[in-house]
Amino acid sequence: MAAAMGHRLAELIEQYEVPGAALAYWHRGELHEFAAGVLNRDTGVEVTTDSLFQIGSVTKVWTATQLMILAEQGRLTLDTPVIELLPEFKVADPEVTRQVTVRHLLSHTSGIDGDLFLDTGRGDDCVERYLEACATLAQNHPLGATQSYCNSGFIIAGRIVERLTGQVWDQALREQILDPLGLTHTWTLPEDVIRFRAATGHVEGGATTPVWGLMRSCGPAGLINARPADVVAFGRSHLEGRLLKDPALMWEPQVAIPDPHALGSHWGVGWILDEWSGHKVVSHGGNTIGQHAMLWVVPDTGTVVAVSANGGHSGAFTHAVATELFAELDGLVVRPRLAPPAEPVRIDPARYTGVYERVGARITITDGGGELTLRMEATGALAALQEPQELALVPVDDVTFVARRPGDPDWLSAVFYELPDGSPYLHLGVRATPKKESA
Amino acid sequence: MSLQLRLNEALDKHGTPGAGIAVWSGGKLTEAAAGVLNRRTGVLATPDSVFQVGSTTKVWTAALVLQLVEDGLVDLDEPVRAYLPDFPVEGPITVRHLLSHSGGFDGDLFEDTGRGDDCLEKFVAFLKDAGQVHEPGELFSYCNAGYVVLGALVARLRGTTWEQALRDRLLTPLGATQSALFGEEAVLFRASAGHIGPGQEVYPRWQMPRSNAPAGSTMCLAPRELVRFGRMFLAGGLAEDGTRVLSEASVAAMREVQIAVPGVSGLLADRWGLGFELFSWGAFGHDGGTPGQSTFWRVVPGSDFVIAMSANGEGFLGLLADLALPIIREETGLDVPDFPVPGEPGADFDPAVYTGRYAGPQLAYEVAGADGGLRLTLLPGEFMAGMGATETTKLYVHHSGDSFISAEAEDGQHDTVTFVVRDGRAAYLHNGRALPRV
Repeated sequence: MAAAMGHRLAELIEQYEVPGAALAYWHRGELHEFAAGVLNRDTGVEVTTDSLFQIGSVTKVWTATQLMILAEQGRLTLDTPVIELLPEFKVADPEVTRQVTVRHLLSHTSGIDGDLFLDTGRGDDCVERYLEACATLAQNHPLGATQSYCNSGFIIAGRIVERLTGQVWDQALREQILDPLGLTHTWTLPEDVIRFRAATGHVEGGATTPVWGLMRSCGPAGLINARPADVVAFGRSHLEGRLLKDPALMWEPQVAIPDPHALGSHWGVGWILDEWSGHKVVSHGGNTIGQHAMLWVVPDTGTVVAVSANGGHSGAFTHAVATELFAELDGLVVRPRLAPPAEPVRIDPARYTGVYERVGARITITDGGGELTLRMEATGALAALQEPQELALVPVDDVTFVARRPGDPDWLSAVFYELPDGSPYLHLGVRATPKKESA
Repeated sequence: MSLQLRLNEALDKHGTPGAGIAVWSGGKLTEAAAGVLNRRTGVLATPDSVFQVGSTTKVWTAALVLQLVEDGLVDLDEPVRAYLPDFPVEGPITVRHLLSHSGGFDGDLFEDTGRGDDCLEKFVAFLKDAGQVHEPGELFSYCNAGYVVLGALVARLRGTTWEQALRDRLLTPLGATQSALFGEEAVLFRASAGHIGPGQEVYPRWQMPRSNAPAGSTMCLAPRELVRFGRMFLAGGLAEDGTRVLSEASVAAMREVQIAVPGVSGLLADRWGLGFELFSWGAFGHDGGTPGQSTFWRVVPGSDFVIAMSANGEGFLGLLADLALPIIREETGLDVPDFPVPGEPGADFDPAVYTGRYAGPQLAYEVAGADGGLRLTLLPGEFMAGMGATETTKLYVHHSGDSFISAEAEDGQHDTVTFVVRDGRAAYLHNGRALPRV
């Protein structure tokens, strides 16, 4: 397999129009590393196994681990209210301000608007200043009522790390995780990344991104750059208990993901949980400006896989890598991507139509003669930058639908559901959006 | 022999990890690059690759100040404090003094005031403890800190950061695409890392603090972009596409002699303009260095000639002597002098005039008498020690006047020092910087 995988990776990047990719996996006590393609189509520099890629939101598991290290040191518990750790913490809803806990933040259940991408500068005070800006964040859903992907929650969590360690998040990460694991190819700031071969993202059409990375305030939610072997070493540390006495605590389900077809069935603490062929799988993915990464850990078999790509159909690519690799290594069937059913499903359009809205996003479901159309538009600051998008929704069952962007190999999934209090929601892109009005 | 072959040969001879060179002559650009950008990654240097250009940045900062003069926002002879009320250094220091390295305060201060947009403001405040070296305007003493103050002045008067002003007012109008002012910009290019020490290891800190950016700590350019900038001066302030970047008056002012540099001219010019080094053999330009990276840049107005060369490790002076200077001679016909060498024993001198201890913020010299000259012991401070400098004692023989030259060559070149003598006794040891006697 190992030798074949080198060729296979090169074939797969071609198939999925990925400029460059790197793969590392740990299997039966051995590390295997592969690389293919280029880091940047402008410079033509080749990917090597030591190249650094932006791992994006995979960072969230590292930040969650930092908090769990502090929890094991007795500095906090998962149920400690954030305001006890950060007395200046404030969001728009005063009850949420008082009651939101670390557990809510790390399992994406706080309901706090998660998509504030605010540039608070390049300085060491960037996370502190981001926290100040959270004072106006509204709720997507009532505290603890469902799961909605929350970047801001992880930046708030990063601020907790800063407060308890007395260090900027980057330095705390180094001392809590990178140095103890001996990770030499894991960095957060561009002036460190540039000392290594480093990937640039590529946008649709294959051009390099004009901007290399996200603003520094996003650090704890997604600014780690690493070679796949370092990401694998981080994953292994959770199997071997090298950072935490009880890493399995982070695999306890915290909330069922209303749309279980996108990333996994449940959210744990930081990790996303799923089951393949009866085996627990813990994972996380990441997307930045034109770069994508995945990390999968299978505790039963001890296999850890990390893969990074810098453009093209990168999500479909990493899914294809996982599907082939886990079948070969552990005989596991990776959960396939949801697709339209063979037999069309009949639905009652009136049940779904209407406007679903949260901060920054409006989703309108309309009935075009028995076929549903999904219209997604950015609102607020990003409205002028993002074109609204309209996609046909294909029913899979009476709550589940799929849609496909033109040119994409994979289908997106969407689930219509209700909170315990009966209020209707749409779960799309791992975010919960409440229905504002019926059509 | 082609420029490429000559560069390959020079790199081999001097053990330099990588280099890039661009030459504008006879109305056309010739470029070459060789070696690796980073010995650890093994990425090859190309003509597109960006190198840290160090203090050549000062000429860019000077041009931004001259644009302020054009816009009526700055008078060169007004005190700095008229524009930056928080500038804490005492004395009648003018903008012109800072541009011509004659402000008289400690220049080699590299305080790291962080990555944020407030780093220049904080650096200016930090200068409250800068020592006075000489009276403003009295002497040339290379002053990095003064250029940071100029950068802060540009940022303040333009209402933005120094980087954004540089991007909007120079790099973009010039069409200098292979340019980066931050790590997150440089990482999009093939970018050079510095190599230091006998093993030519990659310097662990890729970039010096942003707080020294206007003096040259951060900017990265492909050699062709320095050539492009140089050609703008030859064109009286016009970019290649005809966009006016500077007025003809500003271009002329920058090349006008402001002050003489004490000592023996070699790599360093003997006179300074506003930003520019002015070489008596007929060129203007500037050089630059960051840990493990070096840049050389000369503009020859009479010959429509510009050369820029960057390298990322040892052997840079050798590359200059074997490659850059010969090319200038061939292309311009000018009699470009070699770097100085020790001559026949000259006039008598009295060592007692010079012996003693001289110190600046980053280093000190212990000067003792020796047979045929002086024995200089360099005592590096923390910053220089971090870059690999160690305490060394070398023999300097008498060169001329109050100047001495190292008996042994290093990298094929001889170092010179000059003493500024007042009332029969050396008041300063001058090596580009004036180090006062202590």
